[in-house]
Amino acid sequence: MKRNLVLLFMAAVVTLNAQKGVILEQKMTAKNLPGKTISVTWFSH
Amino acid sequence: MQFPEAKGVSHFIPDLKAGMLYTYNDGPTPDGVKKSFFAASLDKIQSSNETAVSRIVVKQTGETKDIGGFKCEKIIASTSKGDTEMWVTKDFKPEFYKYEAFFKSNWEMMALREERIKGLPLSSVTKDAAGNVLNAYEFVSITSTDISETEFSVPAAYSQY
Repeated sequence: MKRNLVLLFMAAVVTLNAQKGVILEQKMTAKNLPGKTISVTWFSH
Repeated sequence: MQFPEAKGVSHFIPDLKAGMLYTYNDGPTPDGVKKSFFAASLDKIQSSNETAVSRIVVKQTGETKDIGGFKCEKIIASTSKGDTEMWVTKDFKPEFYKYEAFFKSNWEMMALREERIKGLPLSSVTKDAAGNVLNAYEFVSITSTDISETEFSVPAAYSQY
């Protein structure tokens, strides 16, 4: 029970700190990291 | 920013206020080896001779197209060594350009900073003066979601190398 409460608290804190953002995936097609997919995480504002 | 390596994923976290770039790989480490991250100040980030230029000319063409549900404008950055053609969305307004110092001699970032364009390039092709492609990336996906502040810090389990 105590552990569940702690987890709930942690989830609430994470939610409060979360902001709208985007995760953009792009595939490199030239000599810089060819064929690799990079991921860019960014807040929307 | 992150990209996959042979083992694990490499993460790059620019810290604008501190003027530092933090990098780490989340792959497995040999027994007895601690997980570590690297920290580099902005002056340690090298520029590429291939694309190092002092001046850039930016043309916001007004031409638009939809990429992944986002409206993008074609922006051309011209330099003495070649040019970059990129499709930039302004559907959301990240001040991505402020991070130009972390991307030395990157024409996309130079162009965004030059015009103070709040947006994000979703695809881009950079060619040298002879028309050879120097670097390029194409759009795969974009997801709007809630993102925690912790995404932008090195996990506590890592110590500085």
